[in-house]
Formats: sequence, C-alpha cells, structure tokens
Amino acid sequence: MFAKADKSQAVMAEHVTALRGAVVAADTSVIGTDLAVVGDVECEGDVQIFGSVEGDVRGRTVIVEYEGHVEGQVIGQHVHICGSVNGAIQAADVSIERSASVVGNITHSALTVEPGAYLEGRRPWRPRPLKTE
Amino acid sequence: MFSKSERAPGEAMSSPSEPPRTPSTAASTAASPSVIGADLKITGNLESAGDIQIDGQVEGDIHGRSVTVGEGADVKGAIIADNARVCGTLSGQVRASSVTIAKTAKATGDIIHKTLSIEAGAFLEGQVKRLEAEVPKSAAQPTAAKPAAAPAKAPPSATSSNSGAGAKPTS
Repeated sequence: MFAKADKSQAVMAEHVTALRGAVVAADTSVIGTDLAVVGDVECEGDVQIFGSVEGDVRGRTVIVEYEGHVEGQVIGQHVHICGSVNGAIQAADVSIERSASVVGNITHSALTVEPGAYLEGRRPWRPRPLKTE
Repeated sequence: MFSKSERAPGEAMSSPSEPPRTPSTAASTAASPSVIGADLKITGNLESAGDIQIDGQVEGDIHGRSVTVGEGADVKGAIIADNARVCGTLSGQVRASSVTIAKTAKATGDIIHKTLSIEAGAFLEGQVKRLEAEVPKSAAQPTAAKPAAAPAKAPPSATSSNSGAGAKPTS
C-alpha cells in the first residue's frame, strides 16, 4: 500500500507541476475521492482535493480537482479549481478551469479563467503580496 | 493552459506536449489512498470509504476502511475502521476489526478490536477490549455480516479512561 501511495503522490506532484508550473514538493497531501472532511484543513504545503471538504482550506497550493468539492473558503498562494467551490477564494494566483463552478468572491492578484467556467460573485483584485489571513 | 480548451471537461487529457494527467480521472483515483501529509492539519472529522494515510495532525474522528497513523502523525480523536495501524501519536479510542500498534506508537485510549497486534516497545495506555460482536462499521463499508446488534454493544466512548493503565501486552 505504501508503494502505491508513493507512486500516486509522485504522479500527482507531476500533475500539479504540469497544471500550474509551480514547484511542488513530493509531500502533497491528498484528500481522496472517497474522503469527506467536515472541518478545516490547514497545510503549509500543497493539498489536492478529489473528495469533499466542508470547511475552510488553507495551503500554499490548493488544487480542487474535477470531482472535488469545497463548501467553505479556499485560501492559499496558488489556487487551481477544476471542481466546485461554494465559498470565497483568496490567493495570489487563481486559475479556474472550464469544468469548475465557483460561487463566491475571488480575491486575487492574478486570475485565469478558462471559457466555460461557472463563476458567481465578485472578483476583486489585490496587489501582491496578497494578505491571506 | 488554454491550449487544452479543446477537450471536454473531466476528460483525461494527454496532449503530446504535456505530461499525462491521469490523476484527474476517477478510475485512477478511486484506488489511491487519501494522504494527510506531514504539514497538513485537519480540525474536524474525516470520513472515507477507502484508505487513509495520516502523517499530519488531525483533531477529530476518523472513519475509514483502512486507517494508518504514520510515525510522525498526531491524532486526537477516535479511529473507527476495519483495519487500523498506529505508528504515531494517538490520543483517543480505536475501534477496528484489526488493530496494529507499531513499536513507534504512542497510543492513549481504549482499543476495541477483534484482532490485535502490538509490537514490543509500543507505548499503550488504556483498556484493551476484544469485541465479540461485529465491529460497528464505518458508514461507508456495507459488509453487513451481523449488522443489527453491533452498535448497541459498543461501549461509551471514553477516550480519556486510563483505568487500564499499565497494560503492556506483548502480543
């Protein structure tokens, strides 16, 4: 099982790098498809969400994957959304894929949105460094 | 990233210019365990139908099929699973069919099990009980061998009960 975990982590780290061009440590935390977290998630590193979180998510890089769902705030340096978020997003770099659905304000200093994404809310710009607290 | 806009949402994408993005498909993620990394802290409960590997901090209860508390991990709360393996610090009840306490573990709380294995050197403080009836399942695991009577027989959660202190079983 651990070999598998290592492998999937490596694959995911590569995936994240491919997505954001960001430097990602190998110790990415993964909320799997079958995991539901009721409460807050705090991470100094990177977190990738395939499952669901009912609560706030804080991390350096936060990726909400296609099937991922967050019911709460997403706060980080880099935030990438492919799934759905019902809550505010605060990050220096925010990228939203077309499969994403975001209901809530997006505070950012650089925002990328693919055509087709569903966005509802205001998108105020803030200069870097973005205060994320 | 807009070069990818041709594909349908959710579709696995692998254009020649970029690495394969297999993790996005359900097929590849279903089998992979959830990993709570060393730098991750969760305040709240976790529920999973699959495997959870915890290397960080969790303040809350954990329900899963297979739960592993890694060496550097710190869990404050109950673990309810089919298989539970504790290598790190745990403060709370463990309720699982199969429980393994590794020698690096520091577990405080009761252990309710059907099969228990404790490595020599493990720190264990709390009562160790064997559950004759079926261990109450995590909601996600509908094996339903003897579903009816199980929950009622579960003892009240007494994570801080240290009445069984000094238990130093060897196996």
